[in-house]
Amino acid sequence: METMMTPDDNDRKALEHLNEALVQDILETSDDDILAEAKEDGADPEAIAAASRALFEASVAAGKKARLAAAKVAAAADRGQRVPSVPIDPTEARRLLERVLARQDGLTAAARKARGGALSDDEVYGLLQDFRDVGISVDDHSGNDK
Amino acid sequence: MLALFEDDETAAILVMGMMDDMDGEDLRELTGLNKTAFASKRRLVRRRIDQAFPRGWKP
Repeated sequence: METMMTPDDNDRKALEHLNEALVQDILETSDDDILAEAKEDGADPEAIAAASRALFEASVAAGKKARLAAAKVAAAADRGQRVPSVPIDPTEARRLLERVLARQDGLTAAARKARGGALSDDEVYGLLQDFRDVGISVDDHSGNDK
Repeated sequence: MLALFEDDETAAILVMGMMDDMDGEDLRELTGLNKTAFASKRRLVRRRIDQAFPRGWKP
């Protein structure tokens, strides 16, 4: 369905066209002419250049921050999507944890606690999630590393 | 925006052409100016808008 343009939309569109034309005009103007115009206006080209550079650097920094935030969101979403491969059944989760612990050196204390039933279901799920987060495979329910 | 060019009919026509998404030779023909005068008029338009909005403007 075609969208109706309101008078405000038309005005905005016209100003966008004007803006584009003015930007194009600046791009087609030589550096020398731009400098001459700035001096005619009593502006300090060095100060303008410094301000523009600062604005550019701030934009780059903001872009990096935004990419980092997006990556964090994507990583969190990825973790969320992988959760279902941890067994829903607490007994199966406990068995899986035992198998994972059995093939990891240096985790004997946790293994003893897990075998002794000292871990709550939440702790079992938490440990499985922690292993996954540090790159230890918990997806192989048969106990074999991939 | 057009009020900035009330004293210059050719500049006002040029701005209206720009707002109508015209460019290049079409825009020059609209104003009836030769190339040098046209470039000079474009410069006037740009500088007058810059002076009216020294901190920039958004459409």
